[in-house]
Amino acid sequence: MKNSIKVERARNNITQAKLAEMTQVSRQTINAIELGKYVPSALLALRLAKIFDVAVEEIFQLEEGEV
Amino acid sequence: MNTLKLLPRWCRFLGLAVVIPILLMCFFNPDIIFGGVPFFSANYQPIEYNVPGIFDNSFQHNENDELQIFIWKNNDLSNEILLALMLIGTYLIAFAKVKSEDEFSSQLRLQSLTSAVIWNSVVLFILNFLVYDGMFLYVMASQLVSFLLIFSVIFAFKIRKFKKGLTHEK
Repeated sequence: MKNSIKVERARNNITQAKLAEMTQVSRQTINAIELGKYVPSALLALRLAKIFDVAVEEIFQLEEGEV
Repeated sequence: MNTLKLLPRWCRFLGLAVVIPILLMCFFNPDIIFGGVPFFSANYQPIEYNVPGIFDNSFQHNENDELQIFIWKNNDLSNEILLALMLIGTYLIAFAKVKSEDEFSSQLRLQSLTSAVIWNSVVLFILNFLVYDGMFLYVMASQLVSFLLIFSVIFAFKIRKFKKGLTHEK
């Protein structure tokens, strides 16, 4: 699963540390999600979507072969 | 989201303070696991009490060759206390919270547990063909705590790896 958190962060001018604070997780977690090493829980995905004010599908997209 | 019930962070340091000296003692004198004298003590005083037991170590038989179960026995409790401390210490290390405890660290914890099961089994499998007879008792004794120790090392390594991987943001 790919995601556009880095893009959304840049668009909203939010650092990893700030986003981690807003979502109540560690910066390691945000970094791991951005690098595609960790798929977040539904709760965290919804929180991220709410912070960036977009739908969850706009941030997280399935890759080919994952359907 | 974190559903794991974990111990406070300071428990890790308490666990390390308990486990490291015992590991060193066991390294220098493995016999203390089975009631040997600790290597550092010249004036060793056994902690002897009359304690209940399920079986006697004379292999469940008395002089009349009768099965002895549920007996009272005068026993040096030092090795039992050491093992209890070791079990508590490894538990404290393994199940204390890390600095940044969240859902990602929970996943790392789960992955580390899986890896620990595999590595512990691999070590046991190999030692099964390398250590024989009475010496295998040491392997069995080490297996009581090795799983949690292997888990703690793998988990600490994974956490460290991700911390190191953090790039400095502009």
